[in-house]
Amino acid sequence: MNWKLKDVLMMGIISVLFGVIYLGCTYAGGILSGVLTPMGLSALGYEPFYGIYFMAGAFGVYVMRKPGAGIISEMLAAIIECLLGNYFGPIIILSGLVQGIGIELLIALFRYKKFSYPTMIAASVICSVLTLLYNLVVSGYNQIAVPVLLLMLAVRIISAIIFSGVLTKLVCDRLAKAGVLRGYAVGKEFAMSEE
Amino acid sequence: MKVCEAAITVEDVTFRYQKRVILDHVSLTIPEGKISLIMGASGSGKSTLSHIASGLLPEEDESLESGEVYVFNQNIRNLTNNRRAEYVTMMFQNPDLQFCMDTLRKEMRFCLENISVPKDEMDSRIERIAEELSVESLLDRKLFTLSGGEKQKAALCCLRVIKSRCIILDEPFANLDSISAMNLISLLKDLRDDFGMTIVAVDHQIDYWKDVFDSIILLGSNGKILSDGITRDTLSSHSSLFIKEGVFFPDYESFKQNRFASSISNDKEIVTLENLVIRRGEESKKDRRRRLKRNKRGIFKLDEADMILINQKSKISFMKGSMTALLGRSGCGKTTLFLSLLKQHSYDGTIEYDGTDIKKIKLKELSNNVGIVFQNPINQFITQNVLEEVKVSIKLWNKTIDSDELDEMALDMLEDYGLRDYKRQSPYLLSQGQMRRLAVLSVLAGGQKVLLLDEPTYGQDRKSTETIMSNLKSKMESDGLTVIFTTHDRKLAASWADSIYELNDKSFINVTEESEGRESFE
Amino acid sequence: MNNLRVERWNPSVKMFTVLLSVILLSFQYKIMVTLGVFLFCLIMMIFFSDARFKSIIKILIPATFAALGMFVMGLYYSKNNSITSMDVSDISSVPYALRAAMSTNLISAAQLGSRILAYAGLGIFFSLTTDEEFFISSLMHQCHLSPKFAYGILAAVHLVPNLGKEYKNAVFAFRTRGIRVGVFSLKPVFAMLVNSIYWSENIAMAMQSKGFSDNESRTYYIEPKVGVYDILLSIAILSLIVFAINSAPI
Ligand SMILES: Nc1ncnc2c1ncn2[C@@H]1O[C@H](COP(=O)(O)OP(=O)(O)OP(=O)(O)O)[C@@H](O)[C@H]1O
Ligand SMILES: [Mg+2]
Repeated sequence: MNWKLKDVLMMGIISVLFGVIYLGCTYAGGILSGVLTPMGLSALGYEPFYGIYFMAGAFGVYVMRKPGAGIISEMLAAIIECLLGNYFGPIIILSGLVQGIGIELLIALFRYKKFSYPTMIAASVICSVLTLLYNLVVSGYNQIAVPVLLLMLAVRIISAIIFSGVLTKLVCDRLAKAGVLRGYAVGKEFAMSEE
Repeated sequence: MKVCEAAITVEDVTFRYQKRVILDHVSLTIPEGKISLIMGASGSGKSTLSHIASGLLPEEDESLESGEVYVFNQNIRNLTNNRRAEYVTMMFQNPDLQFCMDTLRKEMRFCLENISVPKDEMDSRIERIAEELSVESLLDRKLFTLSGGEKQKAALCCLRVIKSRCIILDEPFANLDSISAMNLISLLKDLRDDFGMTIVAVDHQIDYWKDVFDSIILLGSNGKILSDGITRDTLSSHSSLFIKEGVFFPDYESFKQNRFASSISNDKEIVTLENLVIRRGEESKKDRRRRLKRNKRGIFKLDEADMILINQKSKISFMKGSMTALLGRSGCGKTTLFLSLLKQHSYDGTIEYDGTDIKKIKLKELSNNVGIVFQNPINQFITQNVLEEVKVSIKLWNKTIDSDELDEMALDMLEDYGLRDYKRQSPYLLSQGQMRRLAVLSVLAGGQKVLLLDEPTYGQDRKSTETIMSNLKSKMESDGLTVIFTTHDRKLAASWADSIYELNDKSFINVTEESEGRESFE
Repeated sequence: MNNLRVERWNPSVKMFTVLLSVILLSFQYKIMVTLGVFLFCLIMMIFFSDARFKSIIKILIPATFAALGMFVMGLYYSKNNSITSMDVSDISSVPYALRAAMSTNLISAAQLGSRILAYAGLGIFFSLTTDEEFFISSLMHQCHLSPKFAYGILAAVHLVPNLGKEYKNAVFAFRTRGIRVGVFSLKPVFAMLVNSIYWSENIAMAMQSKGFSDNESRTYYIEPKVGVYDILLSIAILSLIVFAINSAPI
């Protein structure tokens, strides 16, 4: 693994940043899910922000463009969240692994060469499906009626498309344009296209 | 031990970022056991050079276009990080970004682990260094609670515990008040005198160093060595070179302004403070209540007084069209005062803007009238291009301007600030000083009536300092701008500000007359 | 008494025990088991650790809400007998539908809710009884995490206090430049990303300047080891769970 110290630090700090944003959103999500609880749809309250969870992985693989970048970024994010006192503790390392695989799967199939919007969006959709499968087994969602599950999946996919599909690429491209990613694959690509 | 004359030898180094050549065939020798000062205009490549000399640049996938660096006669390329650290280490400008652990003791352990010191020796070595630099009380405090000066001292401890033979400091005092800076300098002097350590410092201000330095190296653009080995004796003969390069020279007097020339267009008060009490930021109302309760029970002793940053009984008025300097030790609450002035930090008492209590003014309206330049410029950039950055600001305040005129105006401003060559560059890739200049410029290009500037001239060479200050002055004269700025630089305050306040013992004291007297005394 | 603290349990072994417990729990639906695990974690924390009671409660509250949410969800929309949206919107039929649904759904609901509780119990147990540096050191020594990752993670965690402060400053800096910044605005996020990259470069340089290298050997001040007791404790807990799964009636 040819990760440099500064790559680890960057992904670490950025995952904390996304974590904080996610936390901010879960306050909104908490209210939403509180409203939805009497209707029995509390878990749906958090779904609109699920895509933020995938952002660390999407960011990592988009910026570094090498094998393992997505998975390792998600694992880093998970370990850090565990250190900061998430109530699921090390369990989120498991979900981090699943998310990382979900995001990276398609991109690996494309041999880390294709990073268009359709690719990122498709990767996000795959990630949503995979994480829901994980929830089916581990969180016991298999007890829930299928129509509700489909509704959750739909919301999750939309959220993933917005956050990890479109937004991540948008922000990364702007960062590359600002030159701050010049040490990374995405920055080099950008510099080349400039010339 | 082998005797060696040169601690660091830089041989014919050429370095570039993308197409821009930063260092052009630079050669340089740093003598062992001396304090050498590297000076030069902002953007001349001082930081780049010091990173190369300490082996931190080029990174793995880049390479020098030409040249070699030797530390104590060893090629720096052939040294691994941990071996290199015993020869040369570096201390950086930003005290917040030097540590990876949360206390000094742990950070020092980290350093010792890096150079493979056996576990049993670690504690005694740490204790010894802590005693030597008298920082025992800092060892177990969380690093983020230390003041800027304490952090830099902590950083020095780490370099010391590695037993590095040469240390390079890149603008180590940028965030420090003069007392902390003098403290550090005397520590550095001891390290040279007692242990023969080699010290290389990059600094714009020469005054702190004038009694201790052994030689000065003056850099021109692209790192060209203009003069090597200026000593205290030969310094005065180089004054014209310093002035030509726009670099500070000791006891430089030329920018003495005839104060009150702008003379306060009228004596209208624009911002007033009365009965002001500002508390530390970290404490919420709830925490405060809890702490007071605890104090009452005598469990936990933290005085109410310790929480108060500013307790200003008498009224202070800032006159329309005037320039006021705020002095005070680092961390004493000047920045917090600015935040309070813009309703970003709670306070007791009254703050009025133009005769109205700011509590009654909407935030949006207030920020249309009062602008601020923060210490961290990265937070204020909106675009990815230097020229755009200025244009956006002008346009926001001057919607009708046509595009040719806009371009011309922006370019003129950049020219003034020595940034015209960088107009297509991203603001984030400028040197420290350039970045801050751009931040000041982009706020100055707006149309607010009052500007609050937090250390507007830190990390600037003399020429840029003068440009910034005189631009402010001329805008005061033409638009009736009111300026309030903080600084650690007494001289700067004395030569530019109409009035000077010093935050001392939690309240502001007007020291305008006093500092005038003191300055002519020196 | 101090020997009996779970803080001393090797963190890597502790982590794998927690993860294996989760996997065991995820293939069964017995409420007694899940609630049992939750209670067990609480007891361990209260009697055999230095975790403060207050912090336990504080972190338990959001977890309980999550569990409650899942419970209600199971009540309404279990796969056995869910209320269709028709039923809910048709007010007159709600009481009947609710009653009908509840009787069969109560058990699934309890299963869903208590499972979340059990996970939270395990997670909180780990978080509150594990020192971060000890954990990272143990990952280095027991799981071969490279020092680069270990110290990178610690450095990132230690920057957290800066993050919030700078974010607020960024939002505010934009406002005072006359740029409108809404709740969902990207600008401050962008500034924070630039800050993060900038910080990572600076701190990496500072660490390397202090002699940190990726591949060279180093010594360690803290060197966690795995002892017999670490493994025994782990085996005991896992067997207890397996036993409970096999013997609990519901
Ligand atoms: N990452 C980068 N990419 C491109 N150009 C850069 C980068 N970093 C610095 N530069 C440019 O290199 C030149 C030298 O920068 P350097 O930071 O060494 O200057 P400096 O002498 O330390 O200035 P200051 O006194 O303002 O800190 C500047 O013109 C700057 O714009
Ligand atoms: Mg510099």
